[in-house]
Parts: sequence; C-alpha cells; structure tokens
Amino acid sequence: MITTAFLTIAIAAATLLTLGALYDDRKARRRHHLAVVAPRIEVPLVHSINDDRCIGCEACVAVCPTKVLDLVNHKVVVARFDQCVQCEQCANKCPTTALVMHRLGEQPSTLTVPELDDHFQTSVPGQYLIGEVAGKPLVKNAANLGRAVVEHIARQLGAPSTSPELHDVVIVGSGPAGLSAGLTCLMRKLRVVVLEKEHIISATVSRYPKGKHFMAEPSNAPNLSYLPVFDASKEALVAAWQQVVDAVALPINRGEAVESVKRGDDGILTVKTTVATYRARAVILATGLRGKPRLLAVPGANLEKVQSRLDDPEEFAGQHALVVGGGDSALEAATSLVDAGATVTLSYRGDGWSRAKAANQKRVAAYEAAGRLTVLLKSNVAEFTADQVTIKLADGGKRTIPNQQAFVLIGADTPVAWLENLGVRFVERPHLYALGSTEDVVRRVAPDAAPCPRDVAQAIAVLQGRPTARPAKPGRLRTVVGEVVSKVDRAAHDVWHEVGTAVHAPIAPIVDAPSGRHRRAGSRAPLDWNDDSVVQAIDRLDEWAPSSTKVERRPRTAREHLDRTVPVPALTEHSVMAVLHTHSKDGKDRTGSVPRLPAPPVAGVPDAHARGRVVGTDTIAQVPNADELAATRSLPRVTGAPRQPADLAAPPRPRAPAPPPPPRRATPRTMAATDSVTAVQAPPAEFDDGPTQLGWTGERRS
Amino acid sequence: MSAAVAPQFDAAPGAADPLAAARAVPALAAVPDEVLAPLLATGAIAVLTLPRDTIVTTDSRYAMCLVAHGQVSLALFDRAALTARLAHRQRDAAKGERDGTLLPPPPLAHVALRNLALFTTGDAWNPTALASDGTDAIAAFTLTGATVVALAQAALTRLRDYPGGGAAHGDARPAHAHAALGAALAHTGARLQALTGVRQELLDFYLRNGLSLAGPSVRVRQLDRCIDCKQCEDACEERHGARRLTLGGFELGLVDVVFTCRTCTDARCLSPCEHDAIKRDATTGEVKIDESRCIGCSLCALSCPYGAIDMINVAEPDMPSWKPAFKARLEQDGRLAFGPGKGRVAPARRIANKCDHCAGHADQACIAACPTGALVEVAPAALFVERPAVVPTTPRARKRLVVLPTAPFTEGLRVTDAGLARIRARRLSWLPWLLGLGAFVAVLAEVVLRRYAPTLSVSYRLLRADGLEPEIAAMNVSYLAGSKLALTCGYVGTALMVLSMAYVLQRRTGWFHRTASNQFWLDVHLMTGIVGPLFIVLHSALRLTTWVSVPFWSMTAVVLSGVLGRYLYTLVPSLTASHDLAILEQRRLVSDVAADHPEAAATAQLELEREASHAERSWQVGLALLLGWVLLDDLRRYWARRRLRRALRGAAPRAVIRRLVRAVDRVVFYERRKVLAPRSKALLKAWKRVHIPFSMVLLVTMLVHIGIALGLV
Repeated sequence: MITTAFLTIAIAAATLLTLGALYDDRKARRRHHLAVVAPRIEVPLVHSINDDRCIGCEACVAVCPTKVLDLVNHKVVVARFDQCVQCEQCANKCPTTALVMHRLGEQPSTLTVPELDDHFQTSVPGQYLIGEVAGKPLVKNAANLGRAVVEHIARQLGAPSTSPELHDVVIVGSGPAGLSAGLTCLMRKLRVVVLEKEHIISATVSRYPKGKHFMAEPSNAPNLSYLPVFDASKEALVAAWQQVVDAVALPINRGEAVESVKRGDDGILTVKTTVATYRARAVILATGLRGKPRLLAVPGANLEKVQSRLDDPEEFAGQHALVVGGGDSALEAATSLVDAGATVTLSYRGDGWSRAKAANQKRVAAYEAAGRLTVLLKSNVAEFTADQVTIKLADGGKRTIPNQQAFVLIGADTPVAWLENLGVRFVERPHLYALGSTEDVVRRVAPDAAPCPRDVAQAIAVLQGRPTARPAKPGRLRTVVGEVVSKVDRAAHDVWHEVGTAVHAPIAPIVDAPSGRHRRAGSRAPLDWNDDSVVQAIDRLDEWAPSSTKVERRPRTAREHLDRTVPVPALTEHSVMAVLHTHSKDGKDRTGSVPRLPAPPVAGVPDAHARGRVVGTDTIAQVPNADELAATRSLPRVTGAPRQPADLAAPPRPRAPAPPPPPRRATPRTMAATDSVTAVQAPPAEFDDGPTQLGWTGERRS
Repeated sequence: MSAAVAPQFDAAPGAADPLAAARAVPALAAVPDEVLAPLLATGAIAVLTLPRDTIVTTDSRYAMCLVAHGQVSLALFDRAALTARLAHRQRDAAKGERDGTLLPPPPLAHVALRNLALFTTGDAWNPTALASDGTDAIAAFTLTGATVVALAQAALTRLRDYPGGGAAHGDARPAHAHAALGAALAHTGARLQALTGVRQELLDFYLRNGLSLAGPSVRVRQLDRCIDCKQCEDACEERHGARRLTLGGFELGLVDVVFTCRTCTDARCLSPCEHDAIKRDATTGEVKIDESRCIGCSLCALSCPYGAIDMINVAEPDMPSWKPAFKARLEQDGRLAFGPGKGRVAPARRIANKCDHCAGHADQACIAACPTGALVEVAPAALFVERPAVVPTTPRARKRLVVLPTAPFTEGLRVTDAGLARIRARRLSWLPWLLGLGAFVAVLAEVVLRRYAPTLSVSYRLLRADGLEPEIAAMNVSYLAGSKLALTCGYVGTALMVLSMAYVLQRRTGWFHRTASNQFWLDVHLMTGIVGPLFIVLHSALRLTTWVSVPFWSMTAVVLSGVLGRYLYTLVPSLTASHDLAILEQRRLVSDVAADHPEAAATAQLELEREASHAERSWQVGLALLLGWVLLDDLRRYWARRRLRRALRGAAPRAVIRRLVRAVDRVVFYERRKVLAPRSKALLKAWKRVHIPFSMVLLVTMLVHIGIALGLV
C-alpha cells in the first residue's frame, strides 16, 4: 500500500514536472519572440509642419530644449530629429497650429478651418473671410487677399451702388487686410465702409510691443495690394497706413463692433453693429485672430473712454475709473488701477467672485476693506456719458458717478464662436491643408496687378491716380540709407539662415560612451540601420501607416518620413533608445547594467590585468623619499613599465597590436578562463620594453 | 572616500580666496602666509576651481597636483572620445553657452574606459606622468566641483624649509612642508598599489556608476538573499501607480545597485528642467518631482545617468509606458490640470516618475515588501572603503592595506535588516520559529517519554493525579495513532498547514502588509510548512498502511518541493552574478603568492587551468546522468586536492599551501557551478509545479480524512 501510494505520487510529480517544463519552455520562447522579434515600442512623435500656416515666429525654435528645429527661409524645419526628446513644447507654443506632433503612422490632428471657396467666400454668398482668421497669416498675404477679394467682388457686382443707404462692401476690421480691401474698393469706385471696434486702426499691430521691428513677410511674395508694406517699426508702419487712409479719405467707423450679419432673400447683407445697421452687397470679414471682446449693449458703450483692455494702469493715475466684470482680468485691472492711484469702482452683475482666483479675491476684499476700492455687486451699467456713468444697483436704485475711463472686462468670444454666429461654416481639413500663394489668388482676378511701392508718398500717388513720383534721388540720404540698411539686413538675415543650416547639418555625430547605458543619456552615435531589431521596428512602423493617404506630401512610411525630415545626418541610437524605446519584459532599457567584467589574470604573470590597464597609475605617484624630493631639479615625464617582481618577470612580449576598441555593448557576463588571454587588454607598446623603470628623478633604474 | 565624509549637496567653494583654498590641503596648512602668498602671486602655486566633469589640465611646469576640495578621478580614455569631449567644451566656452541642447553630456566617469583612481582632499599626483602616447589617454577629471592646487617645481623647492601641516591622514607629523607633500604622494601611491585585480574593478564600478557622488544611502539588492519574487517592484507600483525602482541595475558580484534615485550630490536631473518641476528638498536632500508642473519633456529622465527617472504616459492607453493607476492617482490629486493659473499651459502626454523614498509614508514600500530582507539601503561610503585611516610605511604593511574590501561583493553584504532604510515592522523571524519548534519539541518529548520512560511522561502524571495506582497508570500510558494526543497533533498540524496555505493570499491582499512585514510572513509560511507536517508525522505515528498515506506522501512532496524551491531561489541569482568576481579574487590570491613562492604558484596555476577545463566537460553529460557526474566529480576532487597538496609540499610554508589549495578549490567549485547554472535553471521553474498541485491534493484528501474520522462522510 505504501509503495503503491508512493509510486503514484512520484509518477504524478514527474508528469507534472515534465509538462510544466514544456509549458515554461514554450512561454519563454514566446516571450523571447515578443521581446526580440516583435518589440512593443513607444511609437515616436513626429513633427508635421504646415508651411502655409507657419509665420516664422521662431517660438518653436526658441522653446525647443534640444535645438531640433531651425528656421530656413522664414519657415521652421526639423533639422535634427535625432535630438528630439518628444516634449511637444514646440507644438504647444505654435500660435497658428502650423506645427503639430503626432504619432508616427497616424494622421496628425486635423485643422478646423472656415469653409472657403477659391475666392475666399464663405458659405454665406457675398460674405468673405480674409487674413489671419482665414488661415492665411502674415501682413503681405493679408494685403494681397484684401485686394483679391475686392477685385472679385467688383467683377461680381458690376456697377457700384447708387443708393446712399446701400453699401457695396462693408469691411469688418481695419488691419492690413481690411485696409487693403478698403483701398481697393476706393480704386474700384465701390461704396465702402470699414468698421473697427477699437478706436485706432490696426489694433493688433498697434499693440505689438513698443518699437517691435515689423518684417514684411512672407519675404518671397510681392505685395500686390494698394497698401504699402515695408520693414519698419510697428509705430512707423501704422503711422504710414494712417497717412494713406487719411490721404484717400477711406471711411472708417471706429468704435463699432459687429454683432451680426444676416443675408436677406434679396441677397443683401445686413450688418448690425453696436451703433448702427448697414446694408451691403458684400461683407468682408478681416478681424484677425484676437477674438471679439464682449461689450455692453448700453448707450454710450462705444465712447472712446470705454475700453476692452487695460494696457498701462499708470496712464490713468488720479482719474475716476470704472471696471466692469468679475473675472480675474477685471479684478486684476481694478487692483492695479488702485495701485496706480486711480479712484476705482468695480461693478459686477454677479453676487460674488466665484470665477476668480483665490489670490485675486483676497486682494479685492482687502482693498475694499481698506476703503481703496468701491465694489458694486449685482449691479449693471445703465449708461455711459462723456464724464459720468450711471449704474443700476442691486436694490433697483441708480447711482451716477463721475467717470473718465471705463474698462469692460467681461470676457471675449473666440473668433470661431463669433464667426459661427455669422453663419461661417467650419470644416476639418488635414493638417497639411494649404491655401496656396496669395500672389496666385490676386493674379487670378487681377493678372496685371503691380507691386505696391514701398514709399508712402508713391503709394498715395497710385491711389490718387497721380503719376508716381520718380524714384528716390541720390540726395535723399535718409531714404537711401534706409533702403541700404533694409537690404543688408534682409540679406544678412537670409545668409544667416543659409549658413546656419549648412553649418548645422554636417556636424559629425559624437561618440561619447563606449557602453550602452549612457548612450540613452544623450550621446549621439549613429543608429545602426543594419541592426535587426531596428530594421524590424521600422518595418513594423511602416505596416501601421495607412495604405491610402488623402494628403499629398504626407510621407506614407516611417522610413520616408525619416528621410524627408532629414537635412539631418541620421537618426541616432540615442533617439531610438529614447524615442522608439524598445521594451524588454519590464519595459526598461538595461543595456548598460551588465557589469563590465574583469579579465582574469594570465597564468604566470602576477597581475596581467593590472599590468595592462593600471600601468599609468603606478608611475603617477611614485613614492619619493625625502632626499629625492629635496634633490629634485625637475620632474620629468614618466614613461615606463611598473615594477615587476624580478623572479617572475614575463619575458619581453612581441609588440602587441593596438588594443581592440572597447566593446560597444556590455561584455557577456560569463567569461571562461580560456578566453582570458584574449580578453586581457594588451598594454600599449611603449610600456612593453622590459622591467626597467624611470624613478622620480628621471634616472633609469633597473 | 572615508566613511565619515557626509555627503554635501552644495557646490565647490569659489576660488575667491586662493590662499584659503591652498590652506585646505593638509600639507600646506601650516606654511606661513608670507611664503604662500608670493608663490600664489607668481603662479608657482596655482589654485584651480573646476566644475564637475572637467578635465584637469595644467601647465607642464606644474610637477604636483593636490586636491583641496571635492573629488578627482584619474581614468583611461579612448583618445578620440576625449578629444571630442574637449573640443565640445571649447566650443561651448567660445560660444559662452552650452551647445544647442539642455541635456548635460554623460559623466566623464561613464565615458572613461576605466577609472583608475579616486583623489579626495589631501591626495596628490604628478600631472606630468599622465601623458601617454598609446591609443588610450590617461586624464584626471573632476567628479564633483573641485578645487585643485597645482605646485610648480619652484614652489616645491621653496617649501623645503617651512613647516608643513600634518601628513595627509593621521600619520606622524613631519617637520617640513615638502616632507608632508612627500607623505601625501606616498599615501596615494600606497593606495594605488593596493588597487589591483578585483579592487580595480570595485573602484571602477564605484566611480563609473556615480556611487562616490551618491547621497547618504543607495538601495542595494543582495543577490544571495533575493528570491526574485519582484514583490518590491509590485509594492512600489501599488503605492505610486507606477514603479519607481527596477531590479537588475548596476551589478557587481553579489551586489545589485538597483535603478532608482540615490539623491546624487550633483543631481544632474535638476539643471535641465525649465519648468521648476523637479526640486531638491533643502532639509532632507530628497529630489522630488512636482507632477502638477511637469510637462513631460523627459529631459530629467534623459540626463539621469543611473536610470532612476521614468516617463509615464498618462494620455495614450496603447503605449507601453501607459499606467492607468498612475494617471488615476494624479488625477485624484488634481495634478494633471492645465491652463492659465495652473502649473502647465498645455496637457502633458507624459509625467516623470521617480523615487522619493516614500516621502510622506511611514516606511519604504519596496523594502517593507521584501520577504527575505534582500533589499536594503546602505551607505556607499561604507561599502567602498577606499581610503585607509593610517598611512602604511613598510611594504609588508602596504600589502595588508585595507583598500576596497572585496568580501561584500564576493561573499555577500550580510545585512540582515533593512540597513539605513525606513521600515516600519522590524523582523521577528525567531518568534514563529520559537513557538512552532518549541511546541513540536515538547510534544515529541512527551511521545518519546511515553514510549521509553512512561513514568516520566505528562500523561502518567495526569493519570496519577486522577488517583490511579502507579502500576496501572504506567500501563495506561501509551501513544497510538488514534489517541487523544495523536488527534491533537493532527489538528495542530492541520491548522498550521492551513495557515501556511494562507500565504497565497499574502501577495494579493493588503491585510498582511498592514500587520507585519513580508519577511515575517515568509518566515511564518516556512515555519508552518515545516512544523505542521512534523506534527502530522507524530499524528500518523508512522502507520501508513491505509489510503491515509496518500495525504501523507502528498504532504511530503509539498514540503520537499518547498525546501528545494527555497534552496534553488537562494542559489540561482548568485549563480548568475558573483562567480566571475569570486574566481577573479581567488586567482588574485594565487597570483599574490607568486611574488614569494613562484614555484608553488605556478603549480597551482597549472592545476587551476586543468580543473577549469574539466568543469567544461560536464556539458558532455546528459541531464539524467548529471547528478551522478557531480557526485563522482566531488570524490575525484578530493583526490585531486590531496595530489595538489603533495605536489606543493616543500615549495612553500604550510600556511601558504593551505591558502593555495583552498583558492584552487574555490575556483574549481565556482567554475563548475557556473557551468551547471544554466542547466539547473530548468529545475527552478519546475518546483512550483509540484508544490502547488500537491498542496491542492493535500487539502482535499486531508478534508476527506478529517471528515471520515469524525464520521461526517
């Protein structure tokens, strides 16, 4: 009985062991397959750059921590993808979504763009959309589009309107696009009015940082409009535009924000602003991307003192100011105005500051408690007058207070929301969607359009139909110098980028580390494309790329993409380790963790290992006795073999060949004793001339 | 670096006062100002204040360099790599900014082919000896920010007649500065001479892997104790959502410096962050990531040379680094928010994750989870004692110099508790063993007494107390399978084994972690798994004639497989790691003997080579015969040992012979184990396949047995 039971158990145990071993073996092979043959990899994020949208602002180049991007011909390019650490800061900084990052093999995120026809007409017939908001940034593009759409409108409309209350064209926005459109309307004798919600023209450009040098970009496109555009400080440029507008008396209604645009059955568009209503045969929306601040619909809301932003609180020291709103910007404006020394009233229709940050709430509470700030909760502005404002209070009463400045800070509608209200349809387009050159758009409707003179006086002459003045005389020193400086500046700019690209591209990869681990931490050895795992990883990436791609110019395979983005030397192992990030079982790159094992000593030689490697140190700190030190005249350069026990000294070896380069990967863990002779690094030849030695004093001692 | 040196998190002091910097060198401490100042003014003494990872380059007239502050390493470089690095530096210096990238270049200690020496305050070397014309170049470079004092020949001559400070390290005080300098050189030289073989490896490892710059402690896995259960990684992942340590880090012998943060004094991860998202806590020295500010740029992870920082994907579930628990934890704390007023402007795709030594928790999850106490925190300075306290003067003393003891790496650290780590529950392994074995021994004693000396047994006493006559009582004392005591033994044994099975739950429920450390629970499992069956043996009274023997033999299979498994687990990691180092160490012993007894050493060497090739032959043996081969080989080795001892007789003193024979024996032993290791790994996987199914069989048959015995079935 005992025997039977014991045998049964033993046989069962043996069976289990065998089956288990088979199963383990199968599993191990499978894991090996997954790890080596089909590695699970972190697919790299790659850049997708839409040149059409790129404005060359260099925000991405500046923010990149590893200098992956460069600006070439005012467009960003991926110059060193091998350095990319996948932080996506470039994409986050891009103001125009020209640069996005996406997983290799997937489509980049789509663009939401207004639906426009070839002539930049929106889905509402007669309503046009141009400039930055149409997805065509840069000042010359805006100016060109302004001309192109008006030329198109002029053809469509035929004869200009004769009715005084019917405008041919209403232009919303007085930036470069709007002004150019307006000037073209004047040239085509169309009845036009430009509506501007601010009290200055070109508010966006005007509010650039003081003294900002404004480049007439894109540099490769001609300015075919009637609006002069040239490289200058933003103040000079806006002043020039103002001069042109004044010279030809372009009607600009300032302080009118457009509320709605409706198209009647008769095809006439009704534009309702905060001030008036216009009827127009065509409307051009050229509002830019800044968005539309919400305004108060009360009498006097379009007064010049009523502003939607606070630039410099110091300007309003000692004045009576009203701030309307309950968000962070309102609270910050109110407190900063108080700090600047203004008498401030803060009015908000809500009953608390729930929308604002805690710090701002505390500050306002403190200012109110100290009596420096008057706060009117649950109040509404009833009317603005020239030097007063009337506010409806929570209890139903009204209070009129003196007022010289009012800041309505109640948020802004994004351009998209506002445009959707106007009936503009938005569509998703592939990221590389391009609108094409604006020069072509102009030429399509005005084949003989001439470039606008850069000189303001000449531009005005063109507009007034006078013969243009002759080119600048040599005597007009300032203009000439200005021209020269401008030309040199531009040339230098271009050359700089050309040189920069040329210099950066051929920088040889620097091999820093002999073993793999630190390779991950920033060294730049070129990627071994013949390495099987790399080839397989890349091939797999290729498989994931969809077979039909809608966007032309989009690379279809990983290899193609990598080739395309290369003015680069090559993808390096650094990026592949960091980016493709081959995952072993535990997802950790451990190439450097295997210890570099010592070479065992060779028989008969006391410590060949030390002899081969440490030979330098033996001579570095020779032990001098005090007499030697005292007698020392000079310390010569010490070269010589270390001291060897005389009775076991190795016979002089044949001159050893140069030691083999250190292994790229870590050495294998096990090292059989028989390998030891080859594993020992041969000592440099100069140390190999027998057991002599130079002492501290440089004398040869045996 | 001596054990007493506390890590400092600040940079090297500036060279604002060269005089004070020069005075930091012990040998120059007592030289009068009027001597030092002119030497400094003329440049005969130069004070170089260098940032980390800078090659120390000096004019050819400087005959001696002394370290006043910081750490300097001497290393062998690939000449091309060194040139490239220097060119890089020069380019940066010319441009006045780091070239292009924010990523710091890898540490020079990493780039070096081999680190040869570590110089700290007071150490001296001769810079003119560094040049070498071979393919490889020797260069001194700073490991930390360092102040180096270079002395020209003129300065050495001038200092001849002036009093020095002490010698470098506690030696007798020499009278003159030049003698003090000589002593400093002698000390360095002695240390360097002791740095051969394995010690060279240790030093290289110490410097290459940044352990000389590490903070107060590093986390180390003792490979001889680790059973590879990965409960440390699991516990970490459970607490933090994504694990912050990875086993299999920088390994040397039996020590594995795992991939995790060691709060380096230079903290390379801090400088590239432009978002203030990784910071050092000024009081604890802890480097922490502020997840609410991290934008996932990965610069910190890429600049850490020690693989301590991982980027965890929190946006794309199909990526390998995606960790839902990590994301959930951050989301719960509101650390993934973005937008105006938040820590970041755009959503982060990845977040950096690194160890902060479980700040805010009572213990360190990984170390508390280790069931065998293999994962510990140790002070790197204590592990790598590189610098002896006293300068040895005689050659013989120099030979015995304690520089970088190799035992921790070849024989194991032998740290039984968690070292320097914060751990909540101290180990009480003796308690379950004491209780269990005590109870068993008591019962066993009673059984034996009943059998052989009935009048001494407890049962006899009880019967007597009931009023029975001595003879009748003695006749009534017996131990049978069905007796009351045997039944009790059965119940106790069953209870213990059921408790043992509860260990399965230990890895899956948090309750066990909360009550005591994993070490304790493993001990309980082992104790109950051994003592329980022993009780059952008593219970059966070795009457195995019925089907009852099925649970008994199942139990035997479970216990034996468990013992085998525990044994194999302790064996295998060391099989894969320490042997090369141990072999090297033993071979070095043989080589050391060669200096005095060349003939004996040569004989031993010959024997070594022969035995090593013999071990190789085990590959030709089939798996079935392997066990027999090993046994026969052990016998053969006995004779071989005797033969060697006889061959050596007379060639060396008896003590030396004993050492040689032992060394040869160890090498042979390790060589054979190394060869057998891959083949025994198959067994390691297999033991559980017996252990677990037979536990089930045991449980079922045991229940049936109890049921029948109680008349329930």
